[in-house]
Amino acid sequence: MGIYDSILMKAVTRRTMTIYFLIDISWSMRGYKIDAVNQALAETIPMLQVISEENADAEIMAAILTYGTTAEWVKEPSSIMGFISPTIYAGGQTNFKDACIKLKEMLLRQEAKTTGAGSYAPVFILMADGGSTNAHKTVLRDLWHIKWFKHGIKAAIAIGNDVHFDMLEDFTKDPDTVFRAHSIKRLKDLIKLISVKSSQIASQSSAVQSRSRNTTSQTSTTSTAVEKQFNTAFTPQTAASNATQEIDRVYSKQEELAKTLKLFTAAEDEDSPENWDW
Amino acid sequence: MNDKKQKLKQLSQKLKSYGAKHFCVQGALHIKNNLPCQDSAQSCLEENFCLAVIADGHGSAQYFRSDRGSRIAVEAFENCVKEALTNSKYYYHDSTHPKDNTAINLIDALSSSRISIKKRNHAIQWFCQSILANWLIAVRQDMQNEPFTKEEIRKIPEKYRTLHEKDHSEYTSAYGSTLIAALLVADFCLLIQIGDGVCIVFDDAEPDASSKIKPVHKYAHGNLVSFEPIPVDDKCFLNTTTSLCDAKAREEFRSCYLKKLPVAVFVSSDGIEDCFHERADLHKFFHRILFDFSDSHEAQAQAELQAFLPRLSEKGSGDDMSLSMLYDVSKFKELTADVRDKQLPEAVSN
Repeated sequence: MGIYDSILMKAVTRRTMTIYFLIDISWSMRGYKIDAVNQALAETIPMLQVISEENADAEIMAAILTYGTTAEWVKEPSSIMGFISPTIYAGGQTNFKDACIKLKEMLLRQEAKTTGAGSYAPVFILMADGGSTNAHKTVLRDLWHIKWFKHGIKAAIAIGNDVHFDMLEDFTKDPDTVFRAHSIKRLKDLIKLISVKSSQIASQSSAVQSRSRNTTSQTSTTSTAVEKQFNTAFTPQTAASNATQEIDRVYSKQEELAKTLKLFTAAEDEDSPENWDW
Repeated sequence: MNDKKQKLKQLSQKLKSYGAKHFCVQGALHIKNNLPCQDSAQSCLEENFCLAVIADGHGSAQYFRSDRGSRIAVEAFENCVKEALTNSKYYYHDSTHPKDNTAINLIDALSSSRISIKKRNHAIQWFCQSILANWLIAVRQDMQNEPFTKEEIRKIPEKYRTLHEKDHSEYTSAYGSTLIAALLVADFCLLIQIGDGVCIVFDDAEPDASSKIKPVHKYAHGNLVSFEPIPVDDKCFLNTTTSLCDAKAREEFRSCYLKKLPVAVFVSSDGIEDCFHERADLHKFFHRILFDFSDSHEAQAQAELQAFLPRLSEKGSGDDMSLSMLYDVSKFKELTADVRDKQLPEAVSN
């Protein structure tokens, strides 16, 4: 046994990447909306487990924070392996402010605990069907001061037609990563698409990213089943080869996510509002 | 003058007990994806100084010559040290009092007891700028010798590509790299860093309060203490790092001046740092390396570490790994005589 073997066995781990789901559970989410979120999460978790298992770059962690009258951690950050998707119930007001505060506290704890070594930038996915007035602006500004949030990849799903888009755009600071779910099917597909794509992008090392043509094909092979599901749900706007060419030119993972998702979601965005089924 | 030379000679005797080693291995993911090793490392022992340096070339596509950039960075540091320590007409620039510029050797500039902290900082700043200038000159030379190919030009971000193609603007970012270096001279230690990675110092005590150094992540290992004395840069976090290719690179250098020679100094790239979620484990790893170099035959210890780093990369970060170290084995043995049980370091404070 080599003199460094004990270190290798006890102390060395793969890098980690945490995906945070922030879910609105106010009254208006009751019924088919929250059912769709629950179904989508139940289907997404196994996909993330496959990505985590087959991705040599990173182990995926997940966390779920819901907010109704108050915000609560349904699941604090923990490994995606063995993660059982909970059933989330809706009811109450929309206290997005409390969600931002709880998230901020969690990220500050993280900041105090680790330097960031061994971690990839986290992913934050916000799902909301309503919104708050300007009350969210101050807390979001505070949240954006937290390094883990600032450096993270952020996306938001607007559920239905009554969403405060400005709140979602203030969350991501990138209109290209705010998506509207026009229907139940679309909502489920978007949750799966954004969760999986953002996890894939966020958990790639820079070195792998530098070879993104191969990386894209690499992630495709590791998650073929996942890709197939997307290809049936979404029609990429351009040929796959063009998509990878595009990825070659992106410099930030947030931009990469926006570009990748745009290819899959653009067709739907062009649908006329008459086709929306909310 | 002769007295000064005599004094320097005496001080240089202290350096004779040091060993210097460097390691650079291609990351597991780089091998898998057929990418070059983008790290570089160097160490050397000379009569009047010893140095350890590593550089980590950036991974993304737009930094397509970062393997060369890191090599050039290491060479630039080495050249600047040699120039600064051997050329008696080495100038440092005091920007606040241009008329006071003096022809001064870097050793004089940094070790003179008469020099103020402000002037010392100016000298260090000037030294860092000379490294940057040296790096830029060599990068430009490399671009002239071997212009970008069409395939490389396609990798340049669009906003810079037009400038490069139409105005022949120099896209030095292709060579983007970090740099961490340690220099031991006479009776002091100079540490400099731009970008991510880690520098860990082992000594019998942490710097005293008068030095105004506020080391982070301090751990006790019996009579030894390990700490990270270079100030933390908040801009270096997760996937983001400062770089020699930044427009404001000259302002992004961080440094630390230690008034005495430490027992050991390690500089390493984030490829090693990212394998350890717990900081104590990283310090413990370097502590273990010191133990091995003090316990075993040097060549054997070197071979063991060389063989271990690829395994570390495979199980850990997957990234390239570079490590350069300066160590005084006899001092280490002396301080650890009563703790040869290779125990875990305990956190002193954080």
